[in-house]
Amino acid sequence: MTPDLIDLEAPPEPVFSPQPSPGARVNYTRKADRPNDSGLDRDADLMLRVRDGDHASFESLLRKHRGPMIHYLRRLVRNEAVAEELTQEVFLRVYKSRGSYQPSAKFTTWLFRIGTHLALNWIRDGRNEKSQASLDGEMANGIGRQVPDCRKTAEQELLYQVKLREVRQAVSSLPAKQRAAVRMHKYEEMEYAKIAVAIGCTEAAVKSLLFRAYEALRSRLAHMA
Amino acid sequence: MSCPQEFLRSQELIVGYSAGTLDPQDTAAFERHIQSCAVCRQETVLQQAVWAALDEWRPVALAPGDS
Repeated sequence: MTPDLIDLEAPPEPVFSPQPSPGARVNYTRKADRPNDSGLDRDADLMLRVRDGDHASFESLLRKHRGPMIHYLRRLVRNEAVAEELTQEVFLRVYKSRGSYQPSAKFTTWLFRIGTHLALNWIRDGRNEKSQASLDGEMANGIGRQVPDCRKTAEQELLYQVKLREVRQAVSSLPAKQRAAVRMHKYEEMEYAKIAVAIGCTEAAVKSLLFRAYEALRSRLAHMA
Repeated sequence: MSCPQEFLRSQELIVGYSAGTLDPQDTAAFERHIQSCAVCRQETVLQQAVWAALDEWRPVALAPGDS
């Protein structure tokens, strides 16, 4: 059975799409930055305005994405206060990097990537020990709760989800024929000759496709080695 | 990837070795080769990591209908 490329951990898509502030200064530095010319999503358009000094656009982005970001981070760190703190840090980093912003990817992809990195760093750095200490304090004060220490489990789960996401994205980003060849070779365990029939090319072409695909995956997933 | 020793079919062997589909003769020959070829050895490590990552990804992707 061929696996479906299901986005199991996609960040939530914002549902509110604000209009630009009436008084917002629009100062595109390049013609390609203009939304009608380049097909940029509205968020990227707003971010370009932030880059050009429009603080109202930053507030629009903050209003639009703060809630979904907190929700997303809360699922990762399992702590409301930390999720809010990390969300502040996400937007701080967005603002600090406004000068070098280039809309090379969808804005929300970039935004939630920052959030994921911050959450991962927070867990890796053991900054969640503060929360654990708080729980320990409650226990010492006789407020004992029968709560298992799931810190390690949360970290493992996060790392696992991040890894799955990276793998899925790496496979999804392959050209269609390479992706199909990998699916048949890796998951269906089909021989080169049968893959060649299925794809409609020669066996040599299948090998070439697979080697290029695996080389691309090696490159994109090298950090997992 | 370029094998400095121009080992025959090195790419195909790296993939086959990682997938466990090589016959014993090719497996032995390839293992001898990667003892002396750092490029193929490194590529093999990376390919095995990709293989393991793809293995790990599959059960989650199939989970809804795989019970």
